[in-house]
Amino acid sequence: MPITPPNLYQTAVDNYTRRFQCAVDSGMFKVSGGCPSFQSADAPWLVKPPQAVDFRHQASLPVSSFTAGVDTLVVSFVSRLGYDGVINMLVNQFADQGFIEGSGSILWRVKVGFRWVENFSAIDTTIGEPDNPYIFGTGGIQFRERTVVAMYANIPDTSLFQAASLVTCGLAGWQYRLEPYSRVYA
Amino acid sequence: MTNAEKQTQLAELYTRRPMPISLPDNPTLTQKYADRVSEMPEDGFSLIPQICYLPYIYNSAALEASALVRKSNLMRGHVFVAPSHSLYETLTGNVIPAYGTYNTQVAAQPGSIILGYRYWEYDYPAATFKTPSNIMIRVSDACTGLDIAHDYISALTFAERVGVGLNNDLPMSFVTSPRVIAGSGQLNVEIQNTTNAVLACQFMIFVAEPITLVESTGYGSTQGFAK
Repeated sequence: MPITPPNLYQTAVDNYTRRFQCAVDSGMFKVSGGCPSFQSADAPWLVKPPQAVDFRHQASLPVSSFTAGVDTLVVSFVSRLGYDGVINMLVNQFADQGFIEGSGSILWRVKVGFRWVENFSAIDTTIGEPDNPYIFGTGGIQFRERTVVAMYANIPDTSLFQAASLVTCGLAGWQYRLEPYSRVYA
Repeated sequence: MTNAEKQTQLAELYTRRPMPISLPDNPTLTQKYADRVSEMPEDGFSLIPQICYLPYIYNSAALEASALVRKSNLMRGHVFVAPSHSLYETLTGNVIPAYGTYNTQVAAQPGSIILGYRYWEYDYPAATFKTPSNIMIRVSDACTGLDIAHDYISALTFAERVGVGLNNDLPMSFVTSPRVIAGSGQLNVEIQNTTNAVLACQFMIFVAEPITLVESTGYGSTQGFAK
């Protein structure tokens, strides 16, 4: 039995696929990350480009501002138009006694747009200091232009703490101007 | 308009439809395979009056764009699901915890082409299907890192929309044009639960995979494929 030859449509599909693969092989998408052969060591979210703009947002709320069990916004900002960004420094603190690390009596959450950021959606320990934030080893939390980036806190039982105790959240990093092919749209 | 007039209009629309293919770049190949046009398989989608009736809406156009892939004789359909089975994916049965993210990677054949998506969500353990709520999905090419969409997008985009025109009864949400998966054919899928409740769901990716032909290696067997 002979091997089925490609029909006219199959030939067109092969050409279509080949053209796309040629674009990939040419390195057109090399900045976008992905598997090791396509990763770029100087991607703008790994190494700060010269035209990047720093940001650092930090705020505190007293426990009296919280409703038990409700996610309460502590700090937020909107990223610049035309600039993607990366969060690579983080602070979440409780400036008083009574909080036991890991107990879950306070939960901090990072939100980008509508979504809770993976691994940062229920932080139950304090991280970093206001003057010495925790720095991500590699990468960070990336976000797109014109996106609301926010940090929330949740206190399931507010009676555990004094009303004037402060819950602190801070986000820092940089935003970089979009370059050709740094991000390719669908 | 009477039914007879509708049928006449329908027939006219159908016969006026352009050939849904783009010719290959290589004229030699075009000539070589031109005589095989008569061997083309019928495309069942083109015969559905519901689709032919309004050929200029999105789904009809998207179907037309993917006709090339559907009619090619060395591609086959394949549906990838993530998670593979929602109810048993984790020990507790709760697929995505509150505020959580489900990550997985599906591996298609290299050279595969995405045709569409569909998202289902249901209550656990009752398995009652419901309208997606506050779910964000991101699909990206594992090799190049290219996003299928600009960013995380709402699962509502991929959900069934009962009773809304032609979206009803269609098995998937079509992409605008067939999209090639680069390199190794792997896709990263992230499903994020933005609510404070657990979530059971299933995300389907409709893909056309190239068929790998097996040639006889000359062991003398009469079974299987032979040259």
